[in-house]
Amino acid sequence: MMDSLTGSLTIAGSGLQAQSMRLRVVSENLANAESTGKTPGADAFRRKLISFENITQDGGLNLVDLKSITRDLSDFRIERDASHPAADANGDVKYPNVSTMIELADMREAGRNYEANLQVMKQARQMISMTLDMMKER
Amino acid sequence: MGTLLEVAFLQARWLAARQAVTAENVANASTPGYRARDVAAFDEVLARFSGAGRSNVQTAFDSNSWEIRPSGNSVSLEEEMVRAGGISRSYALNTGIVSAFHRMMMQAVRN
Repeated sequence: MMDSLTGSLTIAGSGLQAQSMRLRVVSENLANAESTGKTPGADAFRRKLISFENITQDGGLNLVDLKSITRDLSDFRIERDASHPAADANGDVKYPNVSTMIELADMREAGRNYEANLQVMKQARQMISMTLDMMKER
Repeated sequence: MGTLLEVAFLQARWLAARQAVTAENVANASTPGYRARDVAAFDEVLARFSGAGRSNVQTAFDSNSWEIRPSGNSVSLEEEMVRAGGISRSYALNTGIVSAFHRMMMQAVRN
């Protein structure tokens, strides 16, 4: 039973890692929410999307791992500002396709999942110490 | 005398396996297409009872999961937390019973 419990710690650890990676992508998106191109008509920053997959380790543990970080190919936000260095011939500037609201929602969800993984880890540790407590003389 | 300790040990292993499956579900809470799983009920395990380890405890898709999200993921964090709480309580009861039993045995030996 100890290997299942230490296995739980490994699994919850992979979950923590996955969620912190997700938070990193969110922060990259948020930090670049206003990053336009440098030359006239150039593309702005494209929002990053993170995706996870389920992998099975040799011990039969189902861990979670990063599958891919792709770019969101939806349209840029266009604003008219002829004096901007990235403005094209019509005076249109491409702004990143980042929606702050969506990123914040994603951030909340990552935080919630992180907390759940921590809770599982805490509980597995508690169960391990309960097992060891059986050996104590009372 | 042996049977009580045997059953208690079997249940402890079953609970530990269940905790590991719960950890898998929670870790995969944002994996597209992942279906939540649970281990076989304890009475089934007890019926097959042959020194069950994690490999002997079969897992199956949790058919009555609370929700399925658009990404095909059926893990509900609330459900998993409730389950984990139950596992922890049962485990505390289990270890409590074993140590009480052990205490009783030691008392019998000492007298």
